[in-house]
This record gives sequence, structure tokens and C-alpha cells, in this order.
Amino acid sequence: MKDLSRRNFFAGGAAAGVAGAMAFGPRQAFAQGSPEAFAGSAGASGKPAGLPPVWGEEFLYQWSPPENLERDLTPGTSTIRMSSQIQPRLVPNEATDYDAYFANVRALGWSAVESASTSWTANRISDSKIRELKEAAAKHDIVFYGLHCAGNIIAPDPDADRWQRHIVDSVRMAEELGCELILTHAGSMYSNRNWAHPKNWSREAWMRSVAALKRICKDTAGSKIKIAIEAVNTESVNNPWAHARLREDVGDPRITVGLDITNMVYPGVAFRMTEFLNTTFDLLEDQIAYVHAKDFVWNSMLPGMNWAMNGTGNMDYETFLVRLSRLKSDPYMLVEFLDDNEDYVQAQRNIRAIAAKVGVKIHGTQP
Amino acid sequence: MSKFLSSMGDLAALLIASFSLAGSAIAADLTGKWVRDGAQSDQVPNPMYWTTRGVDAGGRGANSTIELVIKHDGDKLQIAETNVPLRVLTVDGRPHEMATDTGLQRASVTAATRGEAVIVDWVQPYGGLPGNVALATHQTFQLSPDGATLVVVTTRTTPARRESYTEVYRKQ
Repeated sequence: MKDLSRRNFFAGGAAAGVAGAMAFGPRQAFAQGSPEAFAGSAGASGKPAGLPPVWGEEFLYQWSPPENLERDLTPGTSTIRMSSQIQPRLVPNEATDYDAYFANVRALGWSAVESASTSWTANRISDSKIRELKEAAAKHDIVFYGLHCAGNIIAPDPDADRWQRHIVDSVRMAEELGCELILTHAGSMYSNRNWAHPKNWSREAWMRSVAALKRICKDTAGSKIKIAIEAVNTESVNNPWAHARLREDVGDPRITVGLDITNMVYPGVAFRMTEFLNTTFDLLEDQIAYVHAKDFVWNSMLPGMNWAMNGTGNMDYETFLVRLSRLKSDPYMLVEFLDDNEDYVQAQRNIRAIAAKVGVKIHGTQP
Repeated sequence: MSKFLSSMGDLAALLIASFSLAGSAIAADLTGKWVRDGAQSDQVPNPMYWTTRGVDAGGRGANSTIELVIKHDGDKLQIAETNVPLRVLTVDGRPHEMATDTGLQRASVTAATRGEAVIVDWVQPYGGLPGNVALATHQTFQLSPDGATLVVVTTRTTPARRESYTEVYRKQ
């Protein structure tokens, strides 16, 4: 991965930015929406994180994309494995026929699965049943890659401790299941993570998140399970720079990224997703443990986004899929947050159509 | 597609079939001011937003007041529609490129005369935004034999779904 921590990003970018601005006009400098272009701008001006200015920054928010933005849609060689949240979900149950379960998942075109952590920590199944599950997944070429964790690791005490211990238990459970990762979040100062507490971006909240993750890493020392952090707009980690800084501050390479681009969207990037995607992938690339696939539109008066069918909103799925295909290892992509199984069928059709158009490989086929 | 939409589609097919039987005496001149007949028209989904998780993106309700002001002169077709940018099309059966409403992408538009109907095909990225699936929109503008009614049947196709709706307009 490039050394693109936020501090180095700005410090190193200043000189390059000045030189770049002298050599190229603004349009050329920002044509790719690259972090180098951004670093130049931000570093030179000392402005905080955000995409580079386009026009009229003295009096306009920089919410429109640059004119004639060029997109590099050269695909990489990695093959995406898609998972979903179709029903029934994967849960621990001695009575479940896992062979039939994974056969059905595969028949629908999905080639990976994840599961909710609480079901596994609360309902243990026998070792033989876990073996049966693993064998069935392998038989149908399905990768069970992770546990999606509930909870809030910086919730008001005493809940924070309870949820941190849950994450530790989830890491151990993920090892037993042969998974590669667990997914958790920086957390909120409210009990409910989805409520934006006014102090979630304070030093106090940041230090609570860092301390919580240090404790989780310490209590799971020796484990190879990645601790992927999912950005959520209501929490401190809601941009790629916060992702990178969290890993630095916790100081453990297992702190990785459960990349959810749409969870980081705000009006400043809603119509600049090509640049935002490129900046994020350039900054985080090999820290990305896996990704979530959603889409969104801005269709209301307040700066509120609504979820949209994949490939029909603001996301720029061509760039998203191309950048995924350039990761060094085959990425897992969770299509999530849709209403019912038919929505997942439609989402998969759109994603596969876009992937085929830009030459990105997706594992398996959809019926 | 709802049962309602299906039945309205059947009605449109009947209307178009009966118009077509009238023969070539009716010229395909769509010029005029047309007002949507809500009672005879389908509800129309929002053409830009395909929202999920129970969010209604809006669209044209049954009682929406919609006007079309059409100027049809030779191979030029100009359509002014409530809350829609002015469309100026060349009815020559050949594809023409134009900017999408976002100004960020390009659309390919082909308009042609077929019998007494005017057919318009649009292909563009969904929502006019980069990186999206292709949305193919097929529209049939069919005039009634007496020239008093205009039926517009729209079919929108993406890799994930196909949806059709019918709107009936009365000449003012």
C-alpha cells in the first residue's frame, strides 16, 4: 500500500501540489480525482479533509464534479465474490441442512456468505456440525468469510465493556468457523450506534474507540482474524482518512477496512463519487478486507440521501467494480440493505451487467 | 407490474390497435396542447430514482396535472412537458446523441414514424449519472383517429427489470 496516512498525505503533497498547479490548469490537475491532486490542494492550503476545489470555492460548496472528469476504467485481474443478505440467513442450528443451504446460495449466483455474530456467540453448535458446515461450503465453492458484529464498543458504560467482550468472543468464533474477518465499528457515544451523538467526533470519543480496539487486539493477540472497521456516517470513522488514522493509532495491522462507501457519503461527495472512490481506494487499497455494495440518491430537500437499487444511483459502479478488481486478492462484496430476495436478484443483475461492460470478473453465474 | 398497470396496458393496446385500424388517413402530426387524463392513465414511477427500503421516490400520481405542448413540424418534434426539460427530437429513424439531463453523460435518442405513431427510443446511464446500468426507454406516441386523444406508452428496461406504463392525453 502507498504510504498515504493523512498526515503524510498533506505534508508530502504540499510541494507536489504547488508544482502540479504550476504545470497544469485546475482541470488537468484534478482530472483523475487522484489523492495526489487532492493532497496538493489540501496540503498547500492547510484545509481539512475533503475533495479538491473545483470552482468558486470562496462562495460555493464544492459539490459539483469537475467538468470533463476522466475515468480510468481499466479493470484489474481479481475476481469478485458476491455475498448477500437473502433469506434465510446463515445461522447456527443443529437441524440445518447446510449442504442444501449452500447449494441454494450457489444456485442463486452468490459465492460467499457472512453471518451475524450474535447468533454464533449465543447459540453454539457442535464441533461436528461446524465441520459439516465447512465441508458443505467447500463442496459448493462458497467462502464463509466473516462475522458481522453487533454492538457498540464505545457505548456508555457499562455497555462498552460488554460489547468489547462480544467482539473478542466473535474473533474466537470466527477462528473456529474458519473465517477471515469480523466486522465492527468505531462506535457512538449514544447506546444506539445509528444515532449521531454530538461528541462522536470529539477527542474523547476518538480515544474511546482507539482504547476499545487496543483492548480487543490485546485480548485476541496471536489471532489472524482481521478486525475490519465499517465506516458509518453517525460515527467518527466516516471517511477514508479516519480509517487510515485509526489503524495507525491502534497500531495493529489486523485493524483493516470493511469498506462501505455509501456509509461515508455526504453532500460534498454525493455527486463526486468517481473522485471519492478513487481517493479512497488509493488511500486504503490493501487495508480493505472486504466491501459492502449499496447505492444511494439525493432526492429530498434536506441533504438526506436515500438508498437506491444498485447501479441506478450516484455510486459510479463502473469505477467501484474496476477499483475492486485491481485489489491484490479476490475481494468479497456484500450486497446488503435491500428489502427482500427479489431486490437481491435485481441488484445482482445490475451489478453483473455493469461488471461485464467494464470487463470485471465476478465469480459464478446468475440463473 | 401491478394488476392496475397491466389492465391499463391492455386498454392502451386496444386503443392503439383501434387507432391503427383507422388506416393511413390520419397523419402522425402530434402538434397541440395535451392534458393528461388521470382517470385513464397509469401511475408513473419516478423516472430518475429507484429507491429501496420502502422509500417512495414519488412520480406521477393518478391526479397529477401534466401538460404536453408538442410542436411537430416535418422531422422535428419538440415536446414541452411539465417539470421536464424541453425535448427537441429529429424524427428520422437515426440515432442522435444528446446530453442527459444531468449534463454529465450522453444519451442516444432515435425517433421514427411507424404508421401513425411516433416511436422514440432513449438509451442512457440510469439517472444520467456515470457508472450506472444502461436504461433503455421505448415510447410510443399514438394519435387517435379523430386527433383528440394521444396515448403514450412507455417501457423502461434495465438488466434488472422491465416496466411499462400508459398515459392518455386529451387535446385542449
